[in-house]
Amino acid sequence: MRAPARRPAGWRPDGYLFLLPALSVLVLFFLAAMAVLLSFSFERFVGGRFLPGTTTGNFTTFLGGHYYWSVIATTVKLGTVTTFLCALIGYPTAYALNAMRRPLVRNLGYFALFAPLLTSVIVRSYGWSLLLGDHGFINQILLSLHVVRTPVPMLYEFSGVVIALVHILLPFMVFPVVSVLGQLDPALKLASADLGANRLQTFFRVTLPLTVQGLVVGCELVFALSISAFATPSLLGGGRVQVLPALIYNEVGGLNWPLAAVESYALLVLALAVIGIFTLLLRGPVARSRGAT
Amino acid sequence: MAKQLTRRDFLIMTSAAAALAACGGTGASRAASPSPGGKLPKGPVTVTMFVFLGGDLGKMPKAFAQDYMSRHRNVKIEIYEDSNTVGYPKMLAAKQTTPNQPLVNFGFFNAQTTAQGILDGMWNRLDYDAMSNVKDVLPIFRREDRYGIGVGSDQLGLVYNTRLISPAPTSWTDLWDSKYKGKVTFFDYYWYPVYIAAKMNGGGLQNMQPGWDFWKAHAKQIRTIVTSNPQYLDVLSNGTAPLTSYFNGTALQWKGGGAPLEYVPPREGAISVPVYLQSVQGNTNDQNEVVTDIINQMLSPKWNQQWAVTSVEVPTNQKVQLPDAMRSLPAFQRATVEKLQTVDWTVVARNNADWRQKWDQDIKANI
Amino acid sequence: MTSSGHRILGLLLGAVAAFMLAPIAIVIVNSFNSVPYGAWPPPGYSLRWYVNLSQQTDFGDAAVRSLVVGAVATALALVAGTLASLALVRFRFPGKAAINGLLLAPMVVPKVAIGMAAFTLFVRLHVYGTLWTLMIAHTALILPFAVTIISGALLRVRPELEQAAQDLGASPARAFLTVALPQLRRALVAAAVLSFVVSFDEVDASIFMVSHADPTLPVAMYNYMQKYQDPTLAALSTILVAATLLLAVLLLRSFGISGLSEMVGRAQRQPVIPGEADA
Repeated sequence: MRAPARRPAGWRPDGYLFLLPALSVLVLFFLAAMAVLLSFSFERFVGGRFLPGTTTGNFTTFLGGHYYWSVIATTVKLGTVTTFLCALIGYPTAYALNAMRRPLVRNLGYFALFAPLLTSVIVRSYGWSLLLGDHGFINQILLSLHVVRTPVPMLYEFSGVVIALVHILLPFMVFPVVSVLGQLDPALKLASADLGANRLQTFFRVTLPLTVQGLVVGCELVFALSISAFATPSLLGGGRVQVLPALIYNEVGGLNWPLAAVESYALLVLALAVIGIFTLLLRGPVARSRGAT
Repeated sequence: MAKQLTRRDFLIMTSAAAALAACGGTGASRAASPSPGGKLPKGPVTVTMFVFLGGDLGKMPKAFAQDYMSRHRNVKIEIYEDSNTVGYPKMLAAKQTTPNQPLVNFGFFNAQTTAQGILDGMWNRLDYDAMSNVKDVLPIFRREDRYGIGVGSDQLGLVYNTRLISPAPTSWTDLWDSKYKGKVTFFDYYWYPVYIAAKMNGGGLQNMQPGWDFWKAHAKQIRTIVTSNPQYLDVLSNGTAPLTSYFNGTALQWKGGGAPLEYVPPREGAISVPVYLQSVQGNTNDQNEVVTDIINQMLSPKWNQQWAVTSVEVPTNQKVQLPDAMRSLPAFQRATVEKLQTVDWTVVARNNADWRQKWDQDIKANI
Repeated sequence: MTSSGHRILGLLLGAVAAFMLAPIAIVIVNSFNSVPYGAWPPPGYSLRWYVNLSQQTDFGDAAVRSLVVGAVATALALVAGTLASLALVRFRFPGKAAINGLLLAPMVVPKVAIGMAAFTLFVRLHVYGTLWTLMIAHTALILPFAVTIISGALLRVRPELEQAAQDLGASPARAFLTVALPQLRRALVAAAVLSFVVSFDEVDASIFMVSHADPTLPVAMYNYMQKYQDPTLAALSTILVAATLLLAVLLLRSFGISGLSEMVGRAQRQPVIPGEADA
């Protein structure tokens, strides 16, 4: 081994060197912007104008307001439900994509996942309004099949927002899982079959544990994106789905940048906390998947 | 009796106005108006003009800019087209960081943004005495504090889907009439119906609480809140929520595009929303000279008329002759204009953030 | 995999594809709508919105700008992201958790707040409206995607293989490039595609950061939408989708139909060193 004698294996002080390009871009831009936001969060905005002096009032207003906590709750709820559905639909989809032998089918699948990303969310929401509306396509089918007697309200409701968000974020779940599935050595599945496991057992005991890292990555991406989503809940929520990003947008337009800054930091803390917990919970399975080879 | 404006009339009206403008307007001063007080700078001057982002609101400013630049070769007018939600915060942020390099030098700003700008020290006082057309501007559109001058006025009233609602609504109270329960929509956020409700329940602009309480109780009138113009048009046209309150100008633009919508001034009086031309703080002296001249010329009968016709607003210069088709529109009938309600926009600007929160917490949370 | 299992998976894939394409199909049909406001089903069909689109002056330049910014930002993000992933996955050093959080943060903080703050920053530094500030901003915004995907895949690339290559005389860099990078192909393509799309679609922050004279495509679309509420944007979206399809078809032609999947990593099922399959 070439590792230096006294340091633990893998210790590389020049780890920072590798991070340098990424860090410099982030520092140049993102950290600088966050610093500006932080300084805004202590400014005073009263009666429609900025007043001199600093205050912690924005923080107390936000953290002490019952309304803001309900908005946080809605945001987390939206993120959780969306992530769960994306995982539920996305993993099997990735598995199916990976299993398709005919490249044409696989490529069509990729295209179907990828094409919607190119249509702006504003344009897509028109399509959703036609599909999910009270007189829309889905309700017409449900009514004609007598599954329901009155139209199911989906548009301008929480459910409509979830459907549209899953639609947008599914690729962010599928692509990471597909990339990890591709690294799976097919010999492992053969070996499992040789040892007598049926397909289901092979899946749950070999494939899934080894690819859980892809699932984790997908969930991180989808959760982070769904709680910071602004356009979809605004356009399809009809005002009923009040999430933190929409509030932030309103504060920025309303010139109450101090409050917008506080809310932005709140969202960041929220995301890091949830992702942190999620990663901790999955540390076991992920380590096992690494150690398995 | 208000004449129904057909699509053909609307097109004729706008093209007639364009033709009139090209031929030299109503016969009033065709030549460039005399220079204001001082002399116009001879050296190169660049000014940026804030223009509303919406429908045909950019037509007159752009036509004016072309015309002005052709007659003043040393002046360059750049156009900054934006919405208020994005544009004004940027102006304010720029002012806070580089006060001597304003983002824009002058432009069109609605009444609420004007009031906000006064709070922020954003505007220059205009030199009315040096502006020859000011004497023809209706007194209510001139300002005592000289912060800007009115160039036109839109109005807010009722907009409804003619195929789904009949007979037409007539009153502000229709918005909370139980027969329209679940059929109303508003843009996010829209405090005017709250103000009307407050007035009818013992309050007013300074005391909006009765209005908030009232609408909190009547929140179920609202089917959905919209956040973009295409969505607004969609929701109104396809019947999801066929009744709302909004601008006369926008409603007519949609109608002109074929949507089955109509604007009605409520019998208690539509709310007048003036648009002001402002000169922005931080301009150089040369820029200020040019800006003052430009604003003055925009107030001339020729250009004021073009603004009124393309933006579908009441003109502020008394000498402007509106085309017949426009004069017979419900919004421009004498009866409507005489009943227009005005609002103290300074109060609005001061309370905007608080009202926004109450809108979210009291109304949106309950629809 | 039995044929019935295969069929079920095929059906699932079909259902998901239908779900993904349904709103898009509506958008495409609506782009041929003969009336401007949202009448459905369309009372008539017409190409007028495509004609209207061709008469708009803003979209062409804006599209080019978005492509350029997207390409540069994606390239930068891939390089910086791979290096960062290496550091995060393979090395140990203090502050790793904090740096991990920092790399994720731009994805989470609402872009509208970042955009507003960035605008203030750019104005103060007198660099507002330049192309390079936009490129840096987009790189920072898409970096989390690249890092998350690449590091996720890097976890499954065993360092022993590279060490073996180094034992055989290759430098660490060469070992990485020739041994590890090919195993990351699929992840790199996935990261590149997602990162590019995020940049190409980015509107919330860009609205504040671009100058009015030089918008990116999403900002130009947003501005158009404020002025006119007609299906012209649907026509633009249809063209974008068609262009992607065309590009994909062309790539398939030049790489061969199975070649594209190989590029995406199907071929890496081969063990790198004989006997490795027994591990």
